[in-house]
Amino acid sequence: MSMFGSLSVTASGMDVYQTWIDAIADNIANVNTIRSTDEEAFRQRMVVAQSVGGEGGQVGDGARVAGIRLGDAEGQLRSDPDHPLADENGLVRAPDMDLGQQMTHLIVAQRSYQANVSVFERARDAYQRALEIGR
Amino acid sequence: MMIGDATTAGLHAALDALDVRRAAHESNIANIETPGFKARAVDFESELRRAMDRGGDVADVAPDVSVSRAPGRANGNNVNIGQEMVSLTETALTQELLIRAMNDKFGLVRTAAGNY
Repeated sequence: MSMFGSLSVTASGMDVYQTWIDAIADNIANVNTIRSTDEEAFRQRMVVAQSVGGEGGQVGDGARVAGIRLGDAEGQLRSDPDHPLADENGLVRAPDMDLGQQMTHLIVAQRSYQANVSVFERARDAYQRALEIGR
Repeated sequence: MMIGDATTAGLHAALDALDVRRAAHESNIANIETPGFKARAVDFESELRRAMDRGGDVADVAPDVSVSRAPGRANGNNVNIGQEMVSLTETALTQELLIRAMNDKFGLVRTAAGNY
């Protein structure tokens, strides 16, 4: 950990939640992305977070994005015979995503980002105070 | 103890390099919406440490500017605003610490000169 270590730890947390918010934005933008039944559905992006360092009883170095997992390719088959992509049975493929769940995740991600910003502000003030010791 | 000894020279070199780092972060933030822009990072600590260990001239230590290879957004820009703000604060705190060290050093010299 560097000299003002907790600052970069909070930055790593902000990074993870920023990526999560980006993923949710992409998911919500595609909530009505309809495809034909011979294609796979739009697959929602799920961010996988991972802790960094912290082995052997040490304080860790924060979090990072380990990767993006994709949701169900099967999606949901909907009957929409007038749709230009509908097959001979009048079916189209919609993503298997729940808008309510995405919005809930968005709130969690946003609050978690804010929590990291709060820690950053506290740590910055503490370091600032430390620099005034003996003054 | 001299006024211009290794400590003062080291602090001076570090402050100069930190100024370059601050400018790099400011430029990154200014270019947050510039298509294709890649974030710059400035490293000088390892080089400065090597120079001080060798007892060489720290004034020759040039900050190393590297271009970030982090994956970018759709417009090719890879500036991360959170990272930039945090690094900018880190740089400001380090500058404050070095300036304090410099002041304390000069305080000692002033005391030694009997001028208190």
